[in-house]
Amino acid sequence: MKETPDDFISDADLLSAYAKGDAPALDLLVARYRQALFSWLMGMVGNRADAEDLFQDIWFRVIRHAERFNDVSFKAWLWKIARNIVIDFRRKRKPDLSLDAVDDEEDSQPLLNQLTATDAGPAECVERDDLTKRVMGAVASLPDVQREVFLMRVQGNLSFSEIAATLGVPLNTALGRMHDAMTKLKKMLGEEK
Amino acid sequence: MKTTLSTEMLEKELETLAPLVQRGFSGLGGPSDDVLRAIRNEAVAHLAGRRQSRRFFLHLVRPLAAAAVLALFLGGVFQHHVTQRDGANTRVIGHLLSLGSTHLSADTAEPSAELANRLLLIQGLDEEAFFITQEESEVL
Repeated sequence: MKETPDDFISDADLLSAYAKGDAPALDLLVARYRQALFSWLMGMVGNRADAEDLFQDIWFRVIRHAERFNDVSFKAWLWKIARNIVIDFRRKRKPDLSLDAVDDEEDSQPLLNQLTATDAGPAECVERDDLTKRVMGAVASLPDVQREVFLMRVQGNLSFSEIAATLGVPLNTALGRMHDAMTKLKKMLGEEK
Repeated sequence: MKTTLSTEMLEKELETLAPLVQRGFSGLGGPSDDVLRAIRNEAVAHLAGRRQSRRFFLHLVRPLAAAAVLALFLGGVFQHHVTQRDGANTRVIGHLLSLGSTHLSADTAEPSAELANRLLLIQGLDEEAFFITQEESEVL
């Protein structure tokens, strides 16, 4: 992929530029995390409409707090916001549910039923949709705590220490959840490799 | 047997799994253009709102600052005026008091001597006879 001059500007610098009044700087930041954050949200909430609402809420919060950003990593900060918003969203739906409380509970999100068509044409979509459905089905079957760690690493590209910091858990806990998630996914998606 | 997990070990395992999952997720696409537009609008509106509130603040602060300066100036002038007037009054009062005390001391000294003489006379005594020395009283 060809690198543009914007790729050399750090996330923190882009956010700072936005906070100083440069609106297009935020566009660049959104573009950088568009796919990763949206995929993470799709994996966490299981449907496009909610994922889009939450995606918007997350960036609205980033906009409102841009001036106060002082974390080491923008990415970790963004996912901290994202996670809090997902927790709030779930509490509104199920007041007694929390991401940390459902350690090994099987998730019941009807993710496969809620996949929507993408921009690709019908022929191109067949194979991709099949893989998407398999992957999403496998990811949806993971307990929440494993799924969020797995997706933060694979989709968000967060390091394990960033994940541990974002979740407020020891590094070994994050590694353990990742290991469990990977073991299950490898079993479910084994034939795809 | 439980093995100790390491970041390197998991990263190595991920090398095969991650691309597959990422390919699967790429089929979902990203957020719609409407969502991206809404975020852009919010970003612009937020900046505009901030600028406006800053401008509003300046619009509010400038007249307030001018009014405060004027109030301070007027307060200073008034204070000066009051101080001067009080000073003049004090001087007048001081002058009147000093005049009054002079008159009082002149007027009251005489009547009190007269009153003493009158009291002595009423008692059948006179001033010169009443106040006698010890030798005179022994002689008497």
